[in-house]
Amino acid sequence: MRMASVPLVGLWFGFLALPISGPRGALGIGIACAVCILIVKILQAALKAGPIAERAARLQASVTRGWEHSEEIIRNKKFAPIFLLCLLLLPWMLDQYSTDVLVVTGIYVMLALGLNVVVGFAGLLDLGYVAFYAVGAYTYALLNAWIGLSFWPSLVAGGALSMVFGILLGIPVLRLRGDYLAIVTLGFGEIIRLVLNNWDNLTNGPNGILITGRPFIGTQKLYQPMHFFYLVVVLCFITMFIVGRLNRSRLGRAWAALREDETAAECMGINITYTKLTAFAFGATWAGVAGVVFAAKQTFVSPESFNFFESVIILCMVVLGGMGSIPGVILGALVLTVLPEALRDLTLYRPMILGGSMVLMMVLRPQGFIKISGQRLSVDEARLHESASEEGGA
Amino acid sequence: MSGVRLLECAGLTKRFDGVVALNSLDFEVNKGEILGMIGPNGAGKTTAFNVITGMFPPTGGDVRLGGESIVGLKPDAVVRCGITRTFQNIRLFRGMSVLENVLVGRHSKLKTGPIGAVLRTSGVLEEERAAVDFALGLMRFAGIVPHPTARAGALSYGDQRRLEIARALASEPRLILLDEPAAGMNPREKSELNELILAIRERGVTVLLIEHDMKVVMGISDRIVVIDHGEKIAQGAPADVRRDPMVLEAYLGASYA
Repeated sequence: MRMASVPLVGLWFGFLALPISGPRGALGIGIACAVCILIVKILQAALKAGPIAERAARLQASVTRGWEHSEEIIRNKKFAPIFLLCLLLLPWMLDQYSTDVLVVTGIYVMLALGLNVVVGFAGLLDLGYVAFYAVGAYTYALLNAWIGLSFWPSLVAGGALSMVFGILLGIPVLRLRGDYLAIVTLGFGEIIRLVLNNWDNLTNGPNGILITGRPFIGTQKLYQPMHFFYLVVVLCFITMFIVGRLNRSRLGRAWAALREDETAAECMGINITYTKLTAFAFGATWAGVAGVVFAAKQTFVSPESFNFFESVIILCMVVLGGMGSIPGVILGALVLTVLPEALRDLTLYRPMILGGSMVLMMVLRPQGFIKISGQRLSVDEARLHESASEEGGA
Repeated sequence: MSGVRLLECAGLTKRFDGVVALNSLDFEVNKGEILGMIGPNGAGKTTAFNVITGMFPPTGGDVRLGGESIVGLKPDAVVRCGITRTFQNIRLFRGMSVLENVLVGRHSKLKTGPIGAVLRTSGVLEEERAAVDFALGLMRFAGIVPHPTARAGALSYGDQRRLEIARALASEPRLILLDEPAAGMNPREKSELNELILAIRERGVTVLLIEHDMKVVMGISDRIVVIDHGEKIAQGAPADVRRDPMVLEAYLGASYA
């Protein structure tokens, strides 16, 4: 774009704004756009040459290095006990409100880890993931209301029923890829929400269902944020463990192959139907479990908790954190729940800052916070290096 | 060379709307041979591969492997029957490592399910260890030098072709279909490829080879089948096929025949 085109751009934006803001507003917007572009152009020119450019390059290099360094620390097993200790002590150092935020974070970590199976591992874009979350929450609420089923059996029932729903969604979309799959899953998510909203006899419609009674561990009633914090931490670790092991196995390799090239995967002996359905099933299960925990924490469920925006946020956590990377996805969930809380004082600008930081992130680091690393193997990688060096020696 | 029939295609026909890609194609592959399949561009060679491997069903005709019909089976079931393939335009899992690619090829020989993957019983670990050793052995066999953890998409062109072959061999097939493996290779790589294909036969794997490079295909094939317009126009030993007037006409035009 040449300098001469700057007034033209201003004119164009002014023209676009004309019907909305009237002639005076349009003039202002046009001039503002032109000035902004001019400033950007000048900055670009300044950055291209001279010491500023050098300094910017150096800054970028050091940021990348720092990032990689912190990645190493996250991966280093030596630091794991320290992390764990800090994590377990957190609720003692924070007030109730902050602990409650952490509980919500934990629920989102489970959701993001579950969606990561579908989107990150198997590459199936699911825009209706929140439906399984709703299935879990309503399973608990309804079973509790009908037969007084307590929390723990509901946790299993919620996970299992969500798994069934995952397979039910999976069957009709087996043949769909990419955009088409995304649209169907989007529809599925909305269908579940609308059914919950309108089937008054079953779900009490928009008024929701109140859950009487609290979960117990032994004789200890779980009702404080701190209790739920420990519950959620344990469940997150179980999720991480299972999802991580699934990924580093024959099934995980099949998911990855499916994501890379479905046709080639099928020609290598992978049963596409089974592989896709297991991805949907395992993804949905964790959403169901998270839903039961959410319902228990809130003691109330209503359809408005399960709108499309929730699906989008969970997807953002996966993409921002790094598709397919378990530590990445956890970090993504952490950032996207804690950041809005931290920005609470700037309510007005919150969506803008969030949106802006997402755009920036995708431009600067499209692979997400943390990249996938390591081999999808159940056995130790060290063997590979041994055999390679043997070969080199021989 | 006449031996035990491994693969038989009888009256194989494939129509895409109005286009006849395969028109009652008959040919057979004998156990232990290297059969070359040649023909001008668009003759239907790759379509024949796609139909044999179950990527799409034939409009008519039959494909028998060891006497049993495999028509109507899905590609993954065909692999379990013992046929694997490589692709004309390389289709590796580019984002995965070299080792992972070969292990995906081994998928059908492994049994671990989701529960085993989570529990990691000693049986599961044993299976994984054996699979890794097998895959590393295959990589050595195919002459893939880069480290097993290297990203497949980052390999050189020749290595990518070799990796595709290693990945296809990982399921221990009875028959391997190679779709233009020499395309884009330099003369040295081509002669290495010749050695590799001969070595594949030594392993007891029968080879069906589509190839445009006449040096490669004439040099190593036991027999050659020539296809044009979806029909077989000639078959026989390389030296005979080379002189066949039908073949000359298909390749060079009627005036040369």
